[in-house]
Amino acid sequence: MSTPTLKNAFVLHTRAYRETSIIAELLTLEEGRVGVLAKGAKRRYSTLGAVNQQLTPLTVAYQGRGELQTLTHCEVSSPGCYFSGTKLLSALYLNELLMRLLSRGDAVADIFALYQKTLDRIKQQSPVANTLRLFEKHLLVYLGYGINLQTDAETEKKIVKGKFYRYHPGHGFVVVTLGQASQHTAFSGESIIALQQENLTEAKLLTDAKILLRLALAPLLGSRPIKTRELLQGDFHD
Amino acid sequence: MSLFSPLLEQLVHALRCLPGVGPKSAQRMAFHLLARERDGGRYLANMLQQAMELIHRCKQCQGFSEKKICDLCTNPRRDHAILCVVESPADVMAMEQTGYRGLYFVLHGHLSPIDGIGPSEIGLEKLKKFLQEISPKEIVLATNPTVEGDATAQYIVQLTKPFQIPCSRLAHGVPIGGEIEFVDGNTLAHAFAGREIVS
Ligand SMILES: [Zn+2]
Repeated sequence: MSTPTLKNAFVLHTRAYRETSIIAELLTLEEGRVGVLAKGAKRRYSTLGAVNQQLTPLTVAYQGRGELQTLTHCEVSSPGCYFSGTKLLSALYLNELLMRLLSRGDAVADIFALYQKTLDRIKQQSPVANTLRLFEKHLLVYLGYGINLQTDAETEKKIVKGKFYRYHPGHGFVVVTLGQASQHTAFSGESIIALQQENLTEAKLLTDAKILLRLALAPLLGSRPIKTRELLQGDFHD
Repeated sequence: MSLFSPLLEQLVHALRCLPGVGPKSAQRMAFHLLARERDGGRYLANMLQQAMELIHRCKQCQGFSEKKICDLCTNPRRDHAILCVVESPADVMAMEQTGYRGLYFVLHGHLSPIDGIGPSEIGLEKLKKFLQEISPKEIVLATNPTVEGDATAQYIVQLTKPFQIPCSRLAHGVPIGGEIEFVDGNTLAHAFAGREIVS
């Protein structure tokens, strides 16, 4: 029997299976989202107990064929990760987004690095809004739904400061007159360029980025709301 | 075609709603009740019937009880100045073993956004009402030391801020009788962060 290779992973979600087992959804570097069965992981002396630790870098091994792999090894690879307050919920927001947008077997190598980097930034930087917007922006790109922040979708002219644009999901930005801009949700060239250059330094730029990214994510997420957003908006302010 | 009569088949199927009971054990239970435990079976059926009809969640603490407000909540000998928030009724039993004799609030779960479980699903509005009624001096957040348990505790901290009641969280530590070498890194990191001066 060959020894299974160890892989880097994060746990995105777990649910109980039977009395003592857990089904976990992993985000792995090489294979994207992978569903694993951790047999007996709830037993006191299980060697797979670390599967309960979300937001923590893990080293795992699994084997098997089909939809659900069997977890054979699970260990915390760098301990000391701890999130609290808004940072904890923001980190859980990443998990919820990934669970909704990634299917098992979707192997998107860049997402693992993006996730890891974003967790670090959430830990180190306050407030977290800026970090979340950049995560959403890059996630869309890696999933193949990146927003074209460079050019007008109809005229193919560069997006410029001083003009206003409407965003059509799946299509892109279209320039509008000032009169039209006041009637609909329109984004200033400044806001679009700020997101393009990842320079969301002002409240207005951040708010616009949030609205825009929600518009872009909406068709991918469908009608079921993102629950963590409610928690982040509710009683949960820094 | 099934080997068993329809009613027996249904009994086996019904027993499978119990946790950890698969088809084989359900069959064994059904045969046992029918062959050797008729009276016990009748008693069980009667008890199940009554319990399912009469036991509800306590209006205050959400614990299971056939009374509107449970004995735990109304017991004058318990300390009403301290409230312990737990995820499940089993956690109430566990906390009792520590010698804790205050009041409880049972969430019957934890915040789990991905599964659509938000504040209202775990009764946090009721918790707020309960706090208004008893205004305790301390809230002990005894949710599980998981990401979701922590998120739930954090959320309750925010929710109860207006009441200005101090919230405490169970310490994370090295299990008694365990060996430090074998404790997982995160648990040890928590234990280290929460270390105590002993001299
Ligand atoms: Zn009660």
